[in-house]
Amino acid sequence: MASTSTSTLSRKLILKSSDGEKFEVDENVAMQSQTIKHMIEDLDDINSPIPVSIVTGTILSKVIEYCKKHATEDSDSDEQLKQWDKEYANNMDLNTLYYLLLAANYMEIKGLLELITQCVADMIKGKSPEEIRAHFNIKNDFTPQEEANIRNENPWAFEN
Amino acid sequence: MENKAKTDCCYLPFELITEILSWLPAKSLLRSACVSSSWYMLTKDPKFMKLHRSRSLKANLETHFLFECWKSKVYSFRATSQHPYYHASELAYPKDIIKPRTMGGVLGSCNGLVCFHSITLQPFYKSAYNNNLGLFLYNPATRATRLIPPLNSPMNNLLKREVAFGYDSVSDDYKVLAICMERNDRNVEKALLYSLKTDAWVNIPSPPWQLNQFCMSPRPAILADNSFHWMNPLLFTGIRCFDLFTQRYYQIPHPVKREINYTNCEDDSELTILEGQLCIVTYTLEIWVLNKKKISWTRIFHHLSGQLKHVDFHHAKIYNLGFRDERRSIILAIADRTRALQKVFICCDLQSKQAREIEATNLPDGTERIISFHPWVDSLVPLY
Repeated sequence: MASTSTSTLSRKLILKSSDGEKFEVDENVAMQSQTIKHMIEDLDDINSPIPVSIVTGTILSKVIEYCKKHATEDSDSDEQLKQWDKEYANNMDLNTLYYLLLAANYMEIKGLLELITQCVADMIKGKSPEEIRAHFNIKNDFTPQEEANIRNENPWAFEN
Repeated sequence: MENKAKTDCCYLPFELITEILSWLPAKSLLRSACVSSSWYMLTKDPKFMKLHRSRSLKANLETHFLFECWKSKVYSFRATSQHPYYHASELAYPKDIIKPRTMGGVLGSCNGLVCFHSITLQPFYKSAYNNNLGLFLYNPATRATRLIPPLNSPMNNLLKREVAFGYDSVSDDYKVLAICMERNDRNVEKALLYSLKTDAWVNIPSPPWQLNQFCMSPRPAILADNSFHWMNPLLFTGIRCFDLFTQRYYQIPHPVKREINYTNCEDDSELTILEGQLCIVTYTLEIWVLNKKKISWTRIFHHLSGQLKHVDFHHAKIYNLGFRDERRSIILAIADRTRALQKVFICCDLQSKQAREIEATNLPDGTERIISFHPWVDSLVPLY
């Protein structure tokens, strides 16, 4: 699972997932995470593994895949990068997306957070309130009367 | 944590749900308001509305809308370098507000709010000076409308006026500036400023310049850097500005320094906007962008070939529909005044300096006569 990058200019860092899996990555790849960037600043020994305590190995490997793609600025145009992002997000199941979202939030990777939130938003765009509740497992805390009142604020929004 | 194999996001903190919802179009958001009380509160939260607005701008940089006067229809669309009317769809529009016997249309658009004006035409024999200007704000995404209170002194000459709508980012307020001639007081200009927050007009100092003479279709003010901008009607003399927050009038020089030709004293170059920066398109098809310090202009395009001989830029209104193809080209919409405002779309390639016409295919029904183009974004900006 280790990094395959052969860049000699960049320093290597070791990230350790919550379940103990270790990943060797280029510093510029890891620095896309604001959280890791701050951790490195306070770190005495750069060679000791950096714990990414709430992220599992499976998820962390996906985070690293994203960061690697976005760390290399050459070759890819914006358009190609957007296409890559799209395919990357579309290949995840919902469960993975949520854990990735939590990881991106914890690791403070703005681009990944925006990508995943936008992807989930696209999934619920056309859904009815009932479907959204089921999707997010949200309890309806309105009385039927209250819900009807809110629907009547913008009845046209419920038309197709 | 993956062991608790449950496909739900009850683990997701509300902060992340907020992030997800901020990408939804306004219509979906208004529908999801009845999911739960916390979601309902979110759609009413000014901070969330701002986040949502910035996200719509980010996701739909290329959305514009057009207004069709004769049939009072408004379409949103985005132009691509292949199809000028890509994804054109009709926006709901409060038809009952523009009444018969009025002239009206879109005055300006900002952050998803559209300011319409309608002028009630009095029969000429009654009084040529008794025309009233009605203004209202409309958010096509939420269908909210709000009438702006009438000016306390009716304008005495509707052909000599300047009305502009925009957002003051310093005071976080929407404002309308009206400069007009006071009734029974010839040649004295009066300036009034309306604020959406206070819902009132206040008198402000009048501009240090004369209003344009008898302009049937005044060019809309261009909002950039918290100021309105108008082209000075005298050829190449500069740009008139008004700061929405400080209420100060000032001028910035025109990029093109040329001898004034008195046979054609009207400046035909058009002020537009490009990614938030002020921009000028001249009738020789040069595109100039004002730098951030507002001191110098940079020419980003000039036309090399004579391919567009049939387009008369001299009498055209030019609208800038922004960058395309990863900033390699700019799309312009040209309204030829001599040919009943017929629209021509031009794609300017910034590298090869070539301009070509884009054929206007897949045009929505009944939109042959488009009056104006305005930037538009799907937003929740409230009008209460």
